[in-house]
Amino acid sequence: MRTRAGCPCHGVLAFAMALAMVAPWAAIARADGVDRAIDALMTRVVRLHGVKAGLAAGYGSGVLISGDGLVVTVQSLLLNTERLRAVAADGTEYGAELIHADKETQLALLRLTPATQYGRGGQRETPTIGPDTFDFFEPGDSTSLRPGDWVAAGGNPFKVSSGSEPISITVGVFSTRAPLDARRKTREFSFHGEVLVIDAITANPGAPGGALVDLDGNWVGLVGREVTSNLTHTHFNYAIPVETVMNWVGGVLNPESRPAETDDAEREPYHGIKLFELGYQKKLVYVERVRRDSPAERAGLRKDDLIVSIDSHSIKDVGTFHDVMRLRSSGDTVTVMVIRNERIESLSMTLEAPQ
Amino acid sequence: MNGVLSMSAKTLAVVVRHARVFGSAAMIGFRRASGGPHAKDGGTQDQFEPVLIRPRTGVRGSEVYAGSRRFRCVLALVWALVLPIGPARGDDDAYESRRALQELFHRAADRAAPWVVQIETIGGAQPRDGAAANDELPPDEMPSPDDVPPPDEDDGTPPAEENLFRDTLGSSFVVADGPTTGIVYTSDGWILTSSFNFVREPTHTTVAFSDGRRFVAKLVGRDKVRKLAMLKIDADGLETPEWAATDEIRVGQWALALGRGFGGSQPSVTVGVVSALDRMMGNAIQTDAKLSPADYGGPLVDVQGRVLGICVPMAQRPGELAGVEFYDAGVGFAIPEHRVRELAGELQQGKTFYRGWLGVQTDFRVRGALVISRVADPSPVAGVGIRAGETIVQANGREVRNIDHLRKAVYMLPAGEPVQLVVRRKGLDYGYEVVLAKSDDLGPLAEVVPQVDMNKPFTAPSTRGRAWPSP
Repeated sequence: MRTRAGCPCHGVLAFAMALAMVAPWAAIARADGVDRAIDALMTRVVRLHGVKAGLAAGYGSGVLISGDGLVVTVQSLLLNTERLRAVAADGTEYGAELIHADKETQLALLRLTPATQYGRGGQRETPTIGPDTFDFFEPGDSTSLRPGDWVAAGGNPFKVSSGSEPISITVGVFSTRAPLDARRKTREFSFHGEVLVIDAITANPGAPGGALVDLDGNWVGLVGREVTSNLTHTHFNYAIPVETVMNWVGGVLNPESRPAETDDAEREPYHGIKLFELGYQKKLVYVERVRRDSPAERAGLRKDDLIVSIDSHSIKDVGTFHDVMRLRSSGDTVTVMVIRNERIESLSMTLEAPQ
Repeated sequence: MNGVLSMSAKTLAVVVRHARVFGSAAMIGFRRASGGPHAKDGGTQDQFEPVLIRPRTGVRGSEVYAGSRRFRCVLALVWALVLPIGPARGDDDAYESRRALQELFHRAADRAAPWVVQIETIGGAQPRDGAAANDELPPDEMPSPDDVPPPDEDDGTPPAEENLFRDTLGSSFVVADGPTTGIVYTSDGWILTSSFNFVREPTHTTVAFSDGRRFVAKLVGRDKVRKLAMLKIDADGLETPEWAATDEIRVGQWALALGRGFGGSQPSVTVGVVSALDRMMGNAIQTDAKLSPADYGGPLVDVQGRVLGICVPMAQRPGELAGVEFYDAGVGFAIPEHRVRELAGELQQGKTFYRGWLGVQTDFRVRGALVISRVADPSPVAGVGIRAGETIVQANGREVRNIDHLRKAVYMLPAGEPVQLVVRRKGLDYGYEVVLAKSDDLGPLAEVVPQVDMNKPFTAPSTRGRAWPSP
């Protein structure tokens, strides 16, 4: 390198050169329009390391929801250990206590605890946790998402990030909002609420429990567990809406406000339809008989009508018909779609109290 | 700009402004494109086509070094003065362009909502594993594990690949249970979708619109090769889409796959670009927009909501389910306008396109040459006098040296299409034109004519040459 002696503006030059070299690259690295989303994700998603059981991965992701270390994530086998660890964005390791895990929503709430740091140079001091130790997410509004909106998910798929390395970000669009109808391996997945379907790939081990944000970095969802859709039989990329997550968290933190346990064996309201099904895989659900003077008869249902849907639920077999009916109560009016003489008939049926 | 792109002036201004601003890594601009020969409204309107502009920001650092020392000082000082606002502005602009782009996606989806329909099938059965994977492969030609040919050293692709692929997926993949997607083809009730949705042979099919109307549909025609299906519903005055002419489609342009498989009143959106044109023997365009079975039969649209193609599962092998395994992988296919127009008429008349068969079985023990071991009789090849023991050296102008080469030369051709074959018999090449047949029309395979000593490895004498595919 040549010397620069003699140049009057030598010091300024060096400084300016340094800036000129660095700044454009900074601009390139950050200027793709998703930097607000990435900024939000980077410091508020923690990496979880727990127990590895069977085929399940021993790692995952979680979302910080308070300054003192409340973390919401998805229910998983990895949480079932006292040695559960959470790694914050700066690489600091914390312990994590499971406060509550829910079977139905498949969500889990953790609290981070101080933990002794191990690493290069042996044992180091234990960090303390105060009310403002962590940067955390305020819930955003998932209902304002429109199909085609940019979204970014942050988490630690495949445990790629280690130490103080940042989490992995994936950018895609919000596809649609749809009820979840899925399974894990052969077991039915218990959560059937509406989820945010996205086209970013999050159905990877380690990614569930991460955060989904919109272009402005608003937290809109929690990346859901790996499931296979019952509709498409493909791995499903989705997030649980932030409203569902925070309602559940609220219920856990204030048990009084939790809604009373509903009776699972609730009886089906009276409709007066007897069904039979044909086929062994994709079934056809036909009306076998309609009771005289029943809600079904008043609605105009007839023998041999092929039941297609109730409200917007497709009726796949007799079981789904009864499942859907059990969620209704007497006095409700449901729309029953049937195929009769190669035409769709849409009938309104008002249900009555079970007899 | 009647009908082509009614963007609000505000969005356009935002986008155009960003296209001019210096310093941002990716920006959208609009390229003015004339209607082109296929424009349906006379081709006089101006169409604005969003393009990505990528300024070569990275070069600037080295340019600083290029000039004289004084120039360097001045440049560096200018940079030092300008830069504190530079990157911040770049960030904002990139953010704004992304927002503007998002707005375009919404518009495209909104425009498409009235003519993207949900297809629900009722009844029918999961096809047998074998049938699902192998399509109408007659039992005689079912690959058995012993049939895997030895690898051909001269060839880049192992010939066994296809069989392995098929065997592993055939037993694990199941057809979608849920609803899928279609589009309105004509206002008087013709609905276009994918034949994938009918692999189960459902007994009933319904078509639902975003406004809640629902109809019972009749499956009129289907193309099991290009994976299209034509339905008819009893409706009139339906809103129809605008199509993008195939020759206007550009690699790299935005492509949105719209689906109704998950229900809802709005189509679901996945976003990608057009990855390639002229795929699958000119039958399809390729996209990296994520496609799942919920999207099959639905449209791939541009940012103006014009149909680029009908999304179908496809792979470089035959089979009605081939390509389903590419779901969400960034490899998807759509049948573009010109092919749809060619086929639509015949589909509306109730035609079914079946996979085309030659009626030959080949000797897998022979390396480097495609020696016919058995010929079905009757069959297209038997009809022109091609016999067992002869060697197929070319199909449709492509050199063939193993069964996969032959499959790739004919897999996109339905029964009824002609194929040019060059057959070598006693050292002389003979050209034939044979017309592919349906598997149902093939007779039984004739007895094996032993042409080679089974105990000795056989090497074909004279077909070695350029590696396939040759230009």
